[in-house]
Amino acid sequence: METTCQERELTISFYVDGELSAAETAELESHLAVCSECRRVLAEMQKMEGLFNEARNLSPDTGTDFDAIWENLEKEVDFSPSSANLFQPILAWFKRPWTLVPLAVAATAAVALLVFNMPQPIEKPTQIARSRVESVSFNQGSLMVMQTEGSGVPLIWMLPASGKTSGEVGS
Amino acid sequence: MKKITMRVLFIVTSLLVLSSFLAPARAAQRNLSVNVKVIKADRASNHIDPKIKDVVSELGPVLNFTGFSLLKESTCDFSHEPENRIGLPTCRTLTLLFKGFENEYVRLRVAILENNQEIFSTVLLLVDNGSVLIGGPPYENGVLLLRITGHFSGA
Repeated sequence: METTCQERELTISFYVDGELSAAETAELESHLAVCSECRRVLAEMQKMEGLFNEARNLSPDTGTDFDAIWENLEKEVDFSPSSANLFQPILAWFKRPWTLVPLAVAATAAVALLVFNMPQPIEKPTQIARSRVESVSFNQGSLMVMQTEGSGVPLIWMLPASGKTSGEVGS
Repeated sequence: MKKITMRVLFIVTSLLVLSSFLAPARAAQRNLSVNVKVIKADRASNHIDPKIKDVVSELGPVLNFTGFSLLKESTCDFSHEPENRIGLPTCRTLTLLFKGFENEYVRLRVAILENNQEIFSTVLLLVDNGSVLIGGPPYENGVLLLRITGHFSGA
């Protein structure tokens, strides 16, 4: 069966349902005259149509309006080719695992970036830290270590040994 | 290569470049600068140098001096060299050795040299903007006071 014949299957279906225009009907009939495969398809479809008609006649629920149901369905669901194409490339992309590798790398990098640049909680000291004197030595006298009253600033006071005079720092 | 793959690779590269800029900022070192005020305190005058009013208000209740004058003020930056030297009156030298940060403190070794011989030394733990006062050596008709204040900068 040629490709053109394959494409004609839908036209043949419309033909069986009597939904083709006169020109389309004439074109199809001229093709059917020379194409045995399409004639076979037509025969099958007509046979199926006959079976459907028989079933419809046998059904107790003969009052069902299938055309109305179909029209309502068409109102609710958009069967247009544009909506079908919208998600097709995205779905196709996810079907190829190798294309997910860059996405996984990007996600990992984003998470790492967030984690490493997240503001660290600042550990506040339980009490106000003040400057301190860790050790002190003075080899030319004695020392006193005090604190100022208000702000508690450490004060190291050198007491040079006796005999020192003004202007002789520690000497 | 597909356009979408190119876009993802572009995003990944952008994120890596961005993180390379942010990482050094996070790892920035803390720097220390130390301000040293060399003050003369005496009982012979009532003059208080306006520049050191804050020091006087701290010392007033502790020391019985009436006159305070600022002889010298120096600020040392330790970002390049760990040691700084400041000349003191009467040919002494003050040395400041930055020994590193420790939590909220900075450890600083302070020494006074006379004829290149160390006569006084102390190790201070300074908080940011915290001070320590060192005083007592006679100077002219009063005493010398050193106010050492640390300022931290950076991360």
